[in-house]
Amino acid sequence: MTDDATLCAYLDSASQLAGLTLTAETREPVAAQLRVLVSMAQLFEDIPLQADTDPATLLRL
Amino acid sequence: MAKTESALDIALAIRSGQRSALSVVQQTLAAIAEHDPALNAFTQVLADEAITQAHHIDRIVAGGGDPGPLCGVPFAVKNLFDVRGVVTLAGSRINASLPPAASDATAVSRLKQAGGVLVGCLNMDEYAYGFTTENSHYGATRNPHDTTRVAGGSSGGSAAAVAAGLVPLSLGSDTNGSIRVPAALCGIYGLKPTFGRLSRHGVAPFVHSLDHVGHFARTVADLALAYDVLQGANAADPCCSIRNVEPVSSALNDNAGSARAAVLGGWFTRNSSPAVAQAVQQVAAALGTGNTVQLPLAEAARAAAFCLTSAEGGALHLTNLRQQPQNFDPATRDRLMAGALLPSRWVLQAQRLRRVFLDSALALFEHHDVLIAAATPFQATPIGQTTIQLGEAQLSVRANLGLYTQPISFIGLPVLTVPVVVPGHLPCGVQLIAAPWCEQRLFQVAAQLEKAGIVGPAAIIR
Repeated sequence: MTDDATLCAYLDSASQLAGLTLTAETREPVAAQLRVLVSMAQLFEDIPLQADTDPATLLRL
Repeated sequence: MAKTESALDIALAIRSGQRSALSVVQQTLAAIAEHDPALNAFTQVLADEAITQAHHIDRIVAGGGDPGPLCGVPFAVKNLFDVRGVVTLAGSRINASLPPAASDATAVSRLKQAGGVLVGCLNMDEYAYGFTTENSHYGATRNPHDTTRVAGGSSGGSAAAVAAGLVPLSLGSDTNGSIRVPAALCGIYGLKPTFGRLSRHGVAPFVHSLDHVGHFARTVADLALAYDVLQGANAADPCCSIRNVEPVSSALNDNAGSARAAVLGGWFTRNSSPAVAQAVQQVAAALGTGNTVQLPLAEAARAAAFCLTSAEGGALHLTNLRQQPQNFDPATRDRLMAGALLPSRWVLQAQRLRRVFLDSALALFEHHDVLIAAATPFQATPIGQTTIQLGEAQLSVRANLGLYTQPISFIGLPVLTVPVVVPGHLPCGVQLIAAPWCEQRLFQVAAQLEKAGIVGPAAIIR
């Protein structure tokens, strides 16, 4: 989901699947927020973690 | 602003019969009426209930009883805490149509049972999603130090009310920095305890895996007083720790000068304004450290917290996003909608990263008791200002106020934000960070810094 056309296509299909209605007013601001989230996710999505890094242990403080 | 009195002094005066709880409450209500129109910290003042409670406290004292450690102390709460008979707004227009809460949140109940007198509910960002308390439904809360500037958020009303001297104590919540940011911008103390330390029962959720309850005060002793009352297991909150109460009030002066401290470098100094950087150095110097340490993966942790927040928040509000999107603040709605669409693999990767990032933080605590970092990259900005220039960078105010707080709450570490004394300037806040469940150490270090005159509530400049 790196290029804008892919992101916009994802936005349309995913919002439909989620039951969210995007209007002329909301489509671009939501797309802008999704772009921010994608750029954030790219900062951690490929960090190698051990296969047994279990999310259920995250609050084992 | 209002005359500032500590909670400890108020409780002592009422318990000893020098003052009545009723006179304190009347004085508090008068101060709110006089000063809050300029601040917009309160969304509801509970005058009748507060007077009734004050009479109750006075009857106990007159009968020779002890109402508790908060004997007659006024307090107020962010309007996402349930208060019996009051609609829990959570900063939203949507929740205004809900029925009033049937009972008090556990935190509210504990403060009342200790003799505290609830005087009102406080403004916040919608659904706690923001760092400025520029609420499109209920207006912006203004910073008592400069009413043209933001108070920080999302617990902006809670910080402004305490900073202005309207109440000595208030409750807030912190998901990504919502106690630490407003405490810093308003120049007061704020505690975000270890994840699970304080009960979240009766508190409107935002991000279940990140939400913390905490509070604000103008002195370390007051913060400790309320913390001791708020602690304790709570069966109504499955996330609340079953640890015994670990009192801090009686131990504030223990271990003075012995803390092993270090400054967090790297991510936690990037984009700091000169004033904020100076505040961090003042605290470090007072604690006798020139050490700087790195917390690996901090930028990734902040990004993961950012994504988790949108995803969990979006899922939580999905029904209303489908049925009445027009009733959200547009800025909140757009972020929640985008978050509701995030692929699950990113959410899972973010959760898995927490374990790894926590382990790297715990490694630092093998050699240090307290880590020091700025609470915000810059001081309070003008209301409505969307960007700030720092060096060559043009930064979004809303997105960047939480730069230094988000990685820490991501892994649930306890943080006590202290206001650094910078005479003649807007307040700066510094995070004191400890290992899980080591709040007592934070209180001791904060007390040491307060005693040395390094930290303390910023005076209101007019």
